Amino acid sequence: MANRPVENAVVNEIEALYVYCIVPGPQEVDLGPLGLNESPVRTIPGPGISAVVHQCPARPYQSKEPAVVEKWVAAHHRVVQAAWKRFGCVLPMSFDTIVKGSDSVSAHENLISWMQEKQTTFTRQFERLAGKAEYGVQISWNPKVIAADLLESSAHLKEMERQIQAEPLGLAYVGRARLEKAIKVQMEAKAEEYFRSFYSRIRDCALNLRVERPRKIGDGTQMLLNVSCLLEKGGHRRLGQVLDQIAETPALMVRFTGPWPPYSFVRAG
Amino acid sequence: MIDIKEDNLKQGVLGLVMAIVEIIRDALKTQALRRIEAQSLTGEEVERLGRALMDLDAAINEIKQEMGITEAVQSVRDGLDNLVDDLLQKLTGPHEWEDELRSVADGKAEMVKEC
Repeated sequence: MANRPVENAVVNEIEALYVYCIVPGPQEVDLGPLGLNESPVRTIPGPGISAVVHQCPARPYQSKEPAVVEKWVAAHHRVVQAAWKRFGCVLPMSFDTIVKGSDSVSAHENLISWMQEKQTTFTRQFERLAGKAEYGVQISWNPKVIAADLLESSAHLKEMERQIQAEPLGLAYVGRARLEKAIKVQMEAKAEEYFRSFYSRIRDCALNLRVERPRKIGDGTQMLLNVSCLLEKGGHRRLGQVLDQIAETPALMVRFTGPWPPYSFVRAG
Repeated sequence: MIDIKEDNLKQGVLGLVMAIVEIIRDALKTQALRRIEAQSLTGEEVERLGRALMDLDAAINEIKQEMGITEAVQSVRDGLDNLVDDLLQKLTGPHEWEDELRSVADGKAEMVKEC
């Protein structure tokens, strides 16, 4: 057991390359110590495209500490962002995309042959994504406020509430459960209606749209819609206006972020 | 998903048990409402059922407070909610899942890909 470090040293000899993104053209550039754990980042030129990489051991970056993972993911994004700024267009890879070598083939050679194999796909994606950026839109509501509004505006629900107050304990309990259920059904219908309406209005402003899973925020609000939009870089005025209109709806919160490199519109395969 | 450390093992188990009790209570409540809405019960029966459910709620809340497991129960339930969400997502939107599988299976250039 005491000799473990020697074994590790052997494993470490198989070097690998962590790939942040692919950029157009043959590039040979040092981007500096921007990478995960301040690793020096550089480009490796391939056929008409280049990979932005740092050299790493042949194992994925894993940690049980959320803070560590967050730092890595932030560094990953920082590199993609820097490459995007520098080369104008990037195809971001997802976190922990690592090209390994083997006994006979180096990681570098594997990367080059992978780029050769994917050249057509990647070039096509560069054409599709050139001059475009991703924007994120999240729309949430506060369910408590919405429930109170629904109760206030519905004569039927108000009548249910009034009856509860005059009833004996058991019936009142059942009455409240029924009222809560009725409100929930109406809220679901409203969420659905909002989603459809907002989705189609946002789609009209975007070149492409991807529906993401609504995230749990845990601040008492509930996400109704979470989409990634592909727009012309800087061409977010129209969408911004539509979102301003949506944000005027009472009890709704709109979050609009970007421009981001087009993470959601790249297919690594 | 269910974080059980040694010093909170007891709370964890109790939280899990109480979360299951709550889920059964919710199922009972749903069934009761269904019967009431189908109007197959007399007013007196509804009153009795309502009181029984109310007492059950009170008993559950009391136990949760006494044992200090209100948060533990909530975290179990949130965990289960997320699990069900994930499953539904995979059943109703298999494309995302397919992409995930494909990118893992695409090991020709020995890509290591984990998210």
